[in-house]
Amino acid sequence: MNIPEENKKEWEKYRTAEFNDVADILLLLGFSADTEQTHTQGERYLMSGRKLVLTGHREHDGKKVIIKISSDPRGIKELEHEHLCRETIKKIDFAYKDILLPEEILFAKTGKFTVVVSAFIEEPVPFLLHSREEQFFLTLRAFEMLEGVHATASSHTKIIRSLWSSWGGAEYLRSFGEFSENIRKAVPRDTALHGAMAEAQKFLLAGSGTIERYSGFLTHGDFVPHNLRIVGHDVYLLDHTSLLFGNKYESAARFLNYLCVYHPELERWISEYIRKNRGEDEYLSLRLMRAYKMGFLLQFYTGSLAQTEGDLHRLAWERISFWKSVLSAILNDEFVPVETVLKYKNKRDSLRSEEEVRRQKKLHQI
Amino acid sequence: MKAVIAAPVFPPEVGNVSVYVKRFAKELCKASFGDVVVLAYANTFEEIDGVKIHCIKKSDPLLIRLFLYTVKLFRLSRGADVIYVYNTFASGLPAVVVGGLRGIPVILRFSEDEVSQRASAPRKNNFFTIRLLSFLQKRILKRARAISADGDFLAEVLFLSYEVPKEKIRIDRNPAPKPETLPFPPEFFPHRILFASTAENEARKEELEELENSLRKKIPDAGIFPLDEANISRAEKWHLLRGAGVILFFSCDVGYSLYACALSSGIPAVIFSSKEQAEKTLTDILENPGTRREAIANGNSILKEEYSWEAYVRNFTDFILHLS
Repeated sequence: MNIPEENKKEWEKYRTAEFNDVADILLLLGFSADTEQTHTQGERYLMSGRKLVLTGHREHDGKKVIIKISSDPRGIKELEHEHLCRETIKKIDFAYKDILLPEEILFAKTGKFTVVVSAFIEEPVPFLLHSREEQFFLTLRAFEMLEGVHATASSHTKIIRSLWSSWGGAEYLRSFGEFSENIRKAVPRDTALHGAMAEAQKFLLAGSGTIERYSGFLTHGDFVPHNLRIVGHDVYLLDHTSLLFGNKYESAARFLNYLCVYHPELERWISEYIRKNRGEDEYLSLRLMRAYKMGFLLQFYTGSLAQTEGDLHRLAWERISFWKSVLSAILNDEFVPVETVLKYKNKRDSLRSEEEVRRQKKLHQI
Repeated sequence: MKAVIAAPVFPPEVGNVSVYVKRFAKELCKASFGDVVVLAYANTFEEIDGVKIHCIKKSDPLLIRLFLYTVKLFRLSRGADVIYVYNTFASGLPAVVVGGLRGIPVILRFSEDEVSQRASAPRKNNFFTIRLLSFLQKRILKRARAISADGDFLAEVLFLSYEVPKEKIRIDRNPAPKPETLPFPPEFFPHRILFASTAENEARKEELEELENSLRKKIPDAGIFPLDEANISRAEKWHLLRGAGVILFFSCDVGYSLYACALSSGIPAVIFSSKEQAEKTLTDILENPGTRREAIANGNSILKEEYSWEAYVRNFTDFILHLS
């Protein structure tokens, strides 16, 4: 068996064993998992951390819940971090707006397992099904919620330092250097990609003062619609392990990189809004962060080449090529042409497994 | 002339005070005021052409940064005609100390009551801390040459809670913020009335329902919608304001910041003291285009006279000349 197949089988083995083991434990704790679990399938095995994210319900009242469980040291660490993030967010008293997170119902260690159960936030209308204008306003509402937490004074640092370090220009540059290095190791002969990364590194270096200026803000490294829940006027944030203190535009950058595939018009609207209302320096900060996040994506997909084969392997190459063209567009202060996006999406959909298509549909609630 | 603006914060730090400090410095410079120097607590700052900005690191412990701020302010205020300080203990205290030592008049901008805000956050400050802060606040206000209050309510607070003589208080309303540009035009609802309130809307629910019912007898599609600023983004606020027929305020709880936004959105913004008066004026504005145009023109003139940066800077400059 080759390495990619081995990795996938190993994840499936882990998933099945863990799922069988946890059923009784969950019952003892008063919860049970749903029979169908799409979040653990498809390309999930390529993601970080060995932990299961399950949908389920509370036994005594049928309340829908999200159960995260792991017996793997790395997975346990992630769950503990998430628990601490939630506790620390509650202590932050310098936020202009409340940070809304789903209520944690249970955090427990039982035997080799660590379990976190949180409330499932029912969303009457998922983000992508709102009108374009509503999506625009909801996004800005969520950005403003995060931007309202700016750690500047020593008293702020005292609250957050046990959990988060605050990233500034130097940290982002160092991290981007690591992405470049990992990409060089993963695809040593892709000189075009190395060139694009080198250009991006120069861009980040020249703009490190701007990155630094807008640092110290609460950001969400994986700020995408499926990590948001919209209930009336409230925007809830999911995946607290991705919360960190860093550049004001890191969340926006991740979001716009997502939008350039799923909703290019909204990507343009938000970029234009930031440029016209917040000025060129903040707009530059957004572009710098987009380039940084692109580096992360390219590192992730070049890293996945060794773990994939067949269609998924071909898909990884398609992704690398697509994100490289988006990176070039960002560096030139342009938007990637809609035709390029459509071509990529068609290719991507033809190469995705049925299991992954199901997982994506569930994830995006479409 | 030379003015030193002593501020507790400066952009990129978020919040109204931060935004206003930057804009005020910029507008003074634009009006060729002379030397404009800003001192703020900030780890990093956004630059302004023509303005010298100095910072004291916020990451230092409180007493150290207070000391450093005072020393720096003393140096920067050499030859200054005025120290304009945005009130907080961290900037107010050094400003009155330095103003006293240098013999420079201190104008204190009072845009919020820090003591009462701290008192309503019991987790952070106990009874004795609040008493001490209240005592210090009184001393700071006493030593300032003039107090510039953002509205009648704060002027009353200064007079009643801190015993500031009325002749020392000036009312200078914060100018309207810059209207935001959105990527799409607002949908215009000519008979939509936006009701803006600083208080809980529940308290007025019945009164508003009655008003809406009476209006509907004459204008069937008239509707009153609450504008809940706390739960929407800034962009959405501008979008809603621009799409409304009228923006309605009741005189007992006008949020002047929102009122200024409403005026600059080019929509009639009207303040009422009674339901009867509201009904008559609203009907007139909604039904008669001439009255509507007149209300907009009236709003523009209020905006220019009371809520513009030109007026704010002009009043400030005149006042400095009067002091000297």
